Amino acid sequence: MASLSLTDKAQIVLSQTAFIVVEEIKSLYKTRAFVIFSILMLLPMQLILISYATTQYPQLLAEIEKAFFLNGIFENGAIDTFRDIFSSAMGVQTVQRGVISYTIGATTYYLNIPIIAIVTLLTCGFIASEREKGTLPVYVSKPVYRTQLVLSKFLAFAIVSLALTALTYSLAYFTYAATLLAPLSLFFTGVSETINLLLILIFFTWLFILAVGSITILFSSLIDRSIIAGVTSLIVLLLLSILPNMLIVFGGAGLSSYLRFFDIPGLASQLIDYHSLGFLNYYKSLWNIITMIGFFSEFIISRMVDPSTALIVIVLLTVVPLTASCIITEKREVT
Amino acid sequence: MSAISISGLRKVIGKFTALDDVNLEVPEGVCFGILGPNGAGKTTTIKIILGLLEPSGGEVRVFGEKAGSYNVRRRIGYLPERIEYHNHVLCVDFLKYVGILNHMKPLKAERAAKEILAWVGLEGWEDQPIGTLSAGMKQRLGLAQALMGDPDLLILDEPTTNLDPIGRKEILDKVRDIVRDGKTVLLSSHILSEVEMVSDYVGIIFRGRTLRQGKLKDIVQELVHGKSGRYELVVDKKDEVLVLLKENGVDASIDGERIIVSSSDMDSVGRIIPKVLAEVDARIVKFAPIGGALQEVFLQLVSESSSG
Repeated sequence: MASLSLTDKAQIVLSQTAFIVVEEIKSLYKTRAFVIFSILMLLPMQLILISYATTQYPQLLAEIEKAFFLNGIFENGAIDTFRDIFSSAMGVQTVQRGVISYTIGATTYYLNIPIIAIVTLLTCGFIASEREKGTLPVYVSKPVYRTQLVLSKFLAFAIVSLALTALTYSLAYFTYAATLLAPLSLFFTGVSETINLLLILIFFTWLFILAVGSITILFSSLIDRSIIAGVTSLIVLLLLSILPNMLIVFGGAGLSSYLRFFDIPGLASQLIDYHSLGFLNYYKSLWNIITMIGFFSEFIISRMVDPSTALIVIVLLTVVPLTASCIITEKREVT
Repeated sequence: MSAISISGLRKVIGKFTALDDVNLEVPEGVCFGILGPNGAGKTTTIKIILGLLEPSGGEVRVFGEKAGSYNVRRRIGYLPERIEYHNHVLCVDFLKYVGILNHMKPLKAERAAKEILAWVGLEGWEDQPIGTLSAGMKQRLGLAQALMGDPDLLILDEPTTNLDPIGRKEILDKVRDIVRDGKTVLLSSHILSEVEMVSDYVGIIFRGRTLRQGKLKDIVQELVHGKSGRYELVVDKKDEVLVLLKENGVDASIDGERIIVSSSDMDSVGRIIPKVLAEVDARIVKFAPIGGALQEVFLQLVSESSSG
């Protein structure tokens, strides 16, 4: 068999990777971990929506009607109201409240321990289980680069988790929009004006999931048993997101100023706040914190990362572990 | 050109020397059996041939290229010794995946997967999850997987472990068919009778060293015939034959229906027996080495190596 030319090889590698990604997605949705993953992604949002429909919505409707009769509500006012209500339901900062980290909403769940746990559960076996089962020797003795295998697994995971995140937030967004922006004309203008909020939520939650997944894949390529890889990764990620808070309380502010860069949920929620509020409002609300809580605000500010750095850090936390696991898988012997 | 040539291969894992000095020449188009007891270094050798492990010393060339290189991997099919599959994956999906890894287009891979599954006798199981297959079926699936992409060299590591005699025969029959198609098969086993059934060439590995390699016939010829061994002889008129054999100075005894002949010089015994049989006009039913010729070779080599 003749050697392949470079262009032929590039073409083969690319198309092969695409085919592997498709197969990985197909096999991913058949796994039990994925079923748990999708249930735990979708179910909490369903609960939020149920509580919205049964208790919040009737109250809101009454308030909106009252406002209409008293002030005569305008189109812009309706859209602003919708934006505020949806934002606070999702746990995103609103301009009016002006205090960061004090709203509790959907992102409090989605950017937190539950998602870390289920993403870890889903991705911990990506490489470790292939070693465990003995299928890895078969795969890597084929004409394929090991990096291709790692990357296509990650890509499959990225596509699937993007689809799920988008589905979760879209469900909530369109339920709120359809009920609060009642006439159809208002619905379309309202959606076109506020859809960026939905996209911001989806994108940064997705980045958060990718970073967690990528770190777990790193442990999966280092440790041979998938359960141990998963547990190790879970412990490390939980410690990283809890330690900065704990250290502030116990006076380790110096160390926590380094650890804040590894608090992935914190980084993601800050990014969501920053991008949904905009530059001016974000810093205005930061200023509000300082004036409102005075001395103690130092602790909160000290563990915040400025948004552009946060974006770079969260991307690095995805790319670096992924690159590392590619290198480790290439170099490690397959026994 | 030989399919695989290994010279002076060494592999040290930690402080343990797994392979000391392995030399093998596997010609193209034959079935080559790697023989050795458990822990002799068969699997380690195979993994180095595949590029899964890095050798500590020596040279391994497959089709004239470095072992484990991209071009070599395009021509190899591999069935590992121990493989558990992901139970939820369908048979056809697994083979399709392997086909894609072998540079096949998905549709072509699926078609090939179905053909190969039918060939190994798993027709009708295409859309079943692998978890529902029996051990024998899983092994046949493993063989099917190794055949995806039509490789020139097939490496089977203990393909018949954990199988019943029927499953064993099925696999070995398929292996023989594969060799007949002109492919090279490298097969490792510690079950000697198996290797004897399918292999033309053998290499005997013991404690990380090659003891002997070459044509199976030659090795058996050299080591068994003309030297010591225990043979069983089944004839009618066994009592008369026994008496005459003993008169001719052959060490023989009755064991049920057969006569056990043991001698350190089988050459002369081989000349005496026909004479004796002709004398009493006895009909011969069977004359064969006990436990198979290869077992004799094996035990002899291993005892030589252990004492030396």
